[in-house]
Amino acid sequence: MNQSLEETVEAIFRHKRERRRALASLPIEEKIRILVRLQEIAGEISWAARGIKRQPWKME
Amino acid sequence: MEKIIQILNEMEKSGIVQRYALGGAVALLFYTEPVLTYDLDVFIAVPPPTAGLITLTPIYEHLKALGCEEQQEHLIVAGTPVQFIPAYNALIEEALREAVEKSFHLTKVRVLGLEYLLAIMLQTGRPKDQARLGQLLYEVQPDATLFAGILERHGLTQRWKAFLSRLE
Repeated sequence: MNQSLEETVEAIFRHKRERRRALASLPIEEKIRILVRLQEIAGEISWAARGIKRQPWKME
Repeated sequence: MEKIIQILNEMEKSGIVQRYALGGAVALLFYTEPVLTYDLDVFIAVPPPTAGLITLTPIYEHLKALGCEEQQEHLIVAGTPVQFIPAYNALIEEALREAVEKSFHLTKVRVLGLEYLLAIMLQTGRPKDQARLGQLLYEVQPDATLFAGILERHGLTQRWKAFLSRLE
């Protein structure tokens, strides 16, 4: 734990950038699967918080 | 998703639409990390009307005959809300002409090019487009020459400079 706060924060942001790049390089089919999962999560939150139901896409 | 693409390809083949390309957030998925969206924007060129205004009626009639339901401004195609957007200005027309072919599983799909998607977001200028555009600049590497040409042809160069200056 000898890293300065600045170094720690920089490492966090670097890892975020690397993860974004990794996600961006996934096949489109996998990205759609992730999108549908995001819709499911967002739908659950929206229902719990505001009583609004949004249906995730149906995967064939 | 693949079913929708197959339907779009068939609609183009049968002449219901002259040309289509995926746009919006789903098109961006081909270039960037996944982000949340609920609808699929499909930009279309439709055959010129024999008289009067361009209408989407043949598209809606065709899809309803296939069992798709209308829901506000969308048609629900294979469980996905799809919005058909006719090419409404010169930038969209060019973007549609220059759209690129990609694959989804074994099915060919046409998608707006990255540089055009960025230019459309800049032109549309909604707060969510501006926010996403700012984020995208750190994620994607558009072809600088192609992008500059698009901005120039469609009078967006100054708007782009102003956008960049706000980011600094």
